[in-house]
Amino acid sequence: MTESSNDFELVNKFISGDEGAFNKIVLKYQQKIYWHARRMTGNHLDADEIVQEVLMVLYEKLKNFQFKSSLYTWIYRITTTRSINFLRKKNLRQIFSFEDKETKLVKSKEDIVNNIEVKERLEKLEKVLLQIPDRQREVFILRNFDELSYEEIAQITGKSIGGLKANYFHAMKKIMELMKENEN
Amino acid sequence: MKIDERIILYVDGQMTEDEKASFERELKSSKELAEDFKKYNLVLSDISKVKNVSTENEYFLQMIPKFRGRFELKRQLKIIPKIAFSVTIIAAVLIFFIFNFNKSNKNLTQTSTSTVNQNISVNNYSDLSTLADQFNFSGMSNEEISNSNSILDSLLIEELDLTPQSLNNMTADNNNSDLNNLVQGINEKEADQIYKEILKKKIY
Repeated sequence: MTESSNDFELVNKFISGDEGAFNKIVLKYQQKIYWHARRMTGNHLDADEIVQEVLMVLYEKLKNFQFKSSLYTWIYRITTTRSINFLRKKNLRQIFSFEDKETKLVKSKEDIVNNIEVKERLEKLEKVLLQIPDRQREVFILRNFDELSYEEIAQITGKSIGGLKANYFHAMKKIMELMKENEN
Repeated sequence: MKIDERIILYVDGQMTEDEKASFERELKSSKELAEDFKKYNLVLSDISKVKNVSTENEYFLQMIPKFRGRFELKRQLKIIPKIAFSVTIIAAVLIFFIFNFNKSNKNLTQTSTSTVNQNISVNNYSDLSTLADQFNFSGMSNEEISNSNSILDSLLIEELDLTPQSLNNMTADNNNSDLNNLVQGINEKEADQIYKEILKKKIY
């Protein structure tokens, strides 16, 4: 049984009222949703918030899903859109925020990664990623971490393949520069 | 770090076959390009080390229960505005009905009070002059005036101990015209005498 036919079956079961099918879909994609949101936002708490939002959207909209694209493409699209919207709202909140820096630091310490070395490496990369534009970061993550083809990324983002290649190129160039700066 | 942009295109597979062959030839001959290529791959290797990170398993185990809890809460929060809206509508309808009921009740009370008052005034006032003041003929129909006159007549008859015929004689217009003719025919001397006679008589 292929992955997409399995998804099709799970979605149909959920539409006919099987709540367990929804749980299976979540179990299958939860890591991908979390890590995509985490790399887009750069911290665990924001990623957790986005994961919950994405699951809510999935639950409410899955009944109208017509398999015009694959389920994982659709899930990535929701996660990407939610992440970008979340970051925009967060930036606005920070402009008008009265929250002190200490509270923000305490919050950002919460994590699900226990290995200190990996955590440091991750934080370093997250810091770099947050310095590049959202759309470039999105393409970089989908290409590098999720290992998707440009055709698949085009389906998720709705952008042309040429534009995506240009985005990836600029993202990679900036990341290389920022990594070198951080080393120095 | 300034990187040869061709490295990105080469690694990402964005080169044509000719470009790729040309780049690979230069990579072999140029130490500088080879060094850049090595650094680029080191960065990519660093990035790939955080591709599959081991995490607390508990977090992912709790993801669905957490979602279910939130979903239930959201559903409850959705119901609250609906309840509030329904309560407001019901309250508005109730207030509307109560207000209208009071208004119609008030009108009904006023109407019945005026009818009772009228009845009381007709039945209880034996004093003819007081009763006469109670009647407002301006707002009455012909039938009502006729009824009022008959009531007045009956009271007059009763109070003055008259027969209906004698009352007619006393109040008829032709009698008044006769009286006027009679008064006009009296001279000054006769009038003085009549006046003196009236003063001597005790009427009441």
